[in-house]
Amino acid sequence: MTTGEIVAAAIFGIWFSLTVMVQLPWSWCKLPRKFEPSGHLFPGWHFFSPKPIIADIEVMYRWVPGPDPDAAPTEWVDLVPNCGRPARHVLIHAHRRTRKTIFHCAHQLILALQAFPERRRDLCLTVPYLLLLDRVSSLCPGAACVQFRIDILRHGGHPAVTVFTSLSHAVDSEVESGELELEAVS
Amino acid sequence: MITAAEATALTARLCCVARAICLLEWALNRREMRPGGVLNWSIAGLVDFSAHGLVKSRLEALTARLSHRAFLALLVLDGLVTTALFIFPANPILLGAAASLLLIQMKRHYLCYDGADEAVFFCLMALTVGKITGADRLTAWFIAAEACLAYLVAGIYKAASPFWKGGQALLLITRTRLFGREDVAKILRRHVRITAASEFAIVFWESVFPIALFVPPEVLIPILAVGLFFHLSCAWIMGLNTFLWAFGAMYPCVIFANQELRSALSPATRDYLSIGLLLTIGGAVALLTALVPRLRPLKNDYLGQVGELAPTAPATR
Repeated sequence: MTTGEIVAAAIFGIWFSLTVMVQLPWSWCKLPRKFEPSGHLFPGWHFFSPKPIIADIEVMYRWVPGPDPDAAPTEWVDLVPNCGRPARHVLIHAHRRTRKTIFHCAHQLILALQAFPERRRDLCLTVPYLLLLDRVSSLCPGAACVQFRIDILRHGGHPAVTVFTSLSHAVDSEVESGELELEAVS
Repeated sequence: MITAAEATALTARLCCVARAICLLEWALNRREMRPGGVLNWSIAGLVDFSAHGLVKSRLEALTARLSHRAFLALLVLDGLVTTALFIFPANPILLGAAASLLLIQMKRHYLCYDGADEAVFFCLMALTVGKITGADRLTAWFIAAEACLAYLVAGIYKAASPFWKGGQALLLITRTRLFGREDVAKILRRHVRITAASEFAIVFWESVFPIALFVPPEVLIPILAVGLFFHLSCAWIMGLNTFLWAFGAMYPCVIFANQELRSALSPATRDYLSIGLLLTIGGAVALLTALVPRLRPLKNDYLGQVGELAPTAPATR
């Protein structure tokens, strides 16, 4: 064996052992990830397991058209309309990351809501909230206010459930939390 | 016969295909990186990276400092590097550059990278280390072992899961809009036994994938063909298009490792090992499938988060 091969053997040996370790279900086994600089050298390989995705998290939005913020809002509209899955997605799926980001943002908000139910108001300062709000605002040009909500949609006879409704935000101005409803609007 | 150099070169080229698809998707979807897009860095970059450890946070802070234009320039550079790497798959500088550029993209778009990106990054890093040290053989072995580990872990976790029973998981996944297809879900719902058998076949195939290192070529090729079919199905049904290329990239190294192992072992030993491994893992899967009780998701359950979601109101649609 050459010196290079010995070095490679050592690197690959340690790398593989630590990758095996992080696959184990106990939290202390994930420790190597903490000290790994890239954050991606020890991937977890248990895709869709032990528990698969079983529901859709849908983001809906509505807006108040025109300059008057007290006017009636529109109906709720799906932020990511369901366009099915055309065959071309096998090769190129351009909106894959958009859908994933929206899903991830909504998921993060729900997790935060679960963890800190008493700090519901603070959610509007989080990155996922701001990303969703920015997206929704960009879809409603000329609107006085925009608002979004998160539904959990379990298929197979389960009704969709709204788990979070955002504040109503004036477009192109700061959040006016004092006069806005925190509670869900159905 | 495939040599280690050929196997690693093919792995690098298949990684390039995966990268090219991703870059094309970025190009088609570049509007999302501007204000109003969900990948708008002026908002996504507000996250506090300092909590991620010293080295990691510095890397992330460095990525965060890139302007939108600089990041777009890096994507163009990545396109050039990917093309060059496809032509010169053994060049360590190109391999290192491709890995670094992919890492920057994963850091920048931390909300939307997936397992395929991680698998490609893993392969590119391993190939870089292998080329720098001149250890093609070890690299091919390492990537083959990682492929076996990836499938084994995915299979065993599913076998031990109370949700991957009787076709339930397949049905649940295909019903969703994010990863499913309505037409496939309907078929699966109509043919419950076929659904249960397909689910068990996926779990079993994933779990016993490591036998690919020992089996004769007449068995190895079908195992890998099933793998390609599986990833192709995932692309068609779930929209996970880059997994086909990312995991397919590891297959040349699996073929190389199989050849080396079979030539190093006596016919009796390799047959005993194949059968022994198949029986051990297959038995474990069958046992887990039988012993772990099937569990239905709770009423308000989703994504594995069992808890009080405190629904505020039924949704009106």
